[in-house]
Amino acid sequence: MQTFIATFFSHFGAIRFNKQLKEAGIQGKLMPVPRRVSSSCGTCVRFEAESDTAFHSEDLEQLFRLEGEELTMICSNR
Amino acid sequence: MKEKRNLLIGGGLVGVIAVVLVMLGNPKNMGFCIACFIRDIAGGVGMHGAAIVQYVRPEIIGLVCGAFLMALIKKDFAPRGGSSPLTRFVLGFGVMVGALIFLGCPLRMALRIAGGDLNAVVALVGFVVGILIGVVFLKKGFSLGRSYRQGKLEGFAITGINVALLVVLVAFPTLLLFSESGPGSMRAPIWAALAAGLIVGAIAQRTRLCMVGGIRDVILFKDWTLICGFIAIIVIAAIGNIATGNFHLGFTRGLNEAGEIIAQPVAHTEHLWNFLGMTVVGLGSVLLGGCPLRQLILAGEGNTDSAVAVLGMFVGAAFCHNFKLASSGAGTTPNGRIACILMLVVMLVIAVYNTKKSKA
Amino acid sequence: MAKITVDARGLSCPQPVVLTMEALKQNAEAYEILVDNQTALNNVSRFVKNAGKTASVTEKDDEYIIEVK
Repeated sequence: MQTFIATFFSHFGAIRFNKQLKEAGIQGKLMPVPRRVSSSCGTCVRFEAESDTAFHSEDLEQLFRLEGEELTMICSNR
Repeated sequence: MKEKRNLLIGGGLVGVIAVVLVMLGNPKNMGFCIACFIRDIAGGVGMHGAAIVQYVRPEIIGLVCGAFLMALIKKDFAPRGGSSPLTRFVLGFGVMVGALIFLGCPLRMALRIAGGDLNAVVALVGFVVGILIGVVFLKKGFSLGRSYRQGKLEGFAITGINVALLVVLVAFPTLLLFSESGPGSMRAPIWAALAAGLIVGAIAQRTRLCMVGGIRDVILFKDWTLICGFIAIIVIAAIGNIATGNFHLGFTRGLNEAGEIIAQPVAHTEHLWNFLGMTVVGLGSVLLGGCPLRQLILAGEGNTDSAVAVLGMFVGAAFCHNFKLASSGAGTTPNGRIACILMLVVMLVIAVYNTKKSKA
Repeated sequence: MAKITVDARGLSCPQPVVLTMEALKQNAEAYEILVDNQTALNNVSRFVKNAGKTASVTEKDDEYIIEVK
């Protein structure tokens, strides 16, 4: 189980993604983007999943993995 | 939490700087006003003919450049754009109209509250209502579309334009207009205003200071982190105002010896329009993704969509004075009231049109 | 296992990286990742380099083949 933070190009993108996670049985948390993740303000989703869970979103801006205090960017659509 | 601490400290500094700028010559309760200052710049370069509000305010230049430099240092400079720029231009235009009806952007509204101006409290309620409306659309799927990577020079353009403006202000002032009376004539020395702008721009870029975002986060997530910044600004600026004798609680500042009402500085008491003007600002800012200050900061960071919004504000300010839309201490104008309602309708159309029903 | 091929063409972030992540778990000698856009190329390259592997890229007809060892 790993912790991920996903940021989006729109607030609604975050809502939609969170709903997708819920349907896959994953509990996600909608929250303001933490400052250390991005200089852009907006809404992100924080969730825990096995790394092989297939997530998809057209609105996904960036995906980070959070290991304790360490933040690693996994991918970026910027 | 570290973020909250940084916002409190940053906000406090902004409050102090705002009070100092007033001491150094800026109009009262106007250490910073993004709307008024962009309007003043529009006047300074001759885009409008309102003689009492013409001056190229170095604060604005400082804010953009400060944000740019801080973003560059912290590797946050990310040129991007292409997210409905023309729509953002119109929204920026509308936000300026609303702000000039009330006579202040959200930052000045906070500073006016810190000066005891109760008219700004009425405006705050309208502001929150505007944000609430915006949040309804956000939840329903409002989006202006994603942005795309742009070239570095493109991202730097708005900062470059501001630097050029500074060069003209300092080296070729005879090309510009300078008010000799009224708010445009009340100004801190250029270097102080520039330094203040640079510092606040850097702080705002680091902390993501944003009045609209702060209230939005409270509404959406009950998260008080971002709003801490503005609460700190109000508290510290209020203390500074009390200490410098600039705090006067009320809708007016009482009566003078002749029995005439002394108004709050650069303010009017038409409650309905203070309310509605800031409703327009609140709604427009949510749709833009940030208040006018935030647009300046994002523009400095390379966000060309925000730069376009700023240009919309600039043109909006010129129109406000050319078509008598702007308010004054004497109150609102008939054209202004019509424009305010019109912009509210336009923003609602933009909101509805750009909201997709959930397609989960 | 000798060589694993990951076809991530037509997929957008984070799919290419997620599939690559999965493939790397299988400890093969070499991998070949196929992507069709610059974003995916950057993301996958960055990911495998952070995972201690080497990546060499060949471009062919608007597609990219990333050889990973």
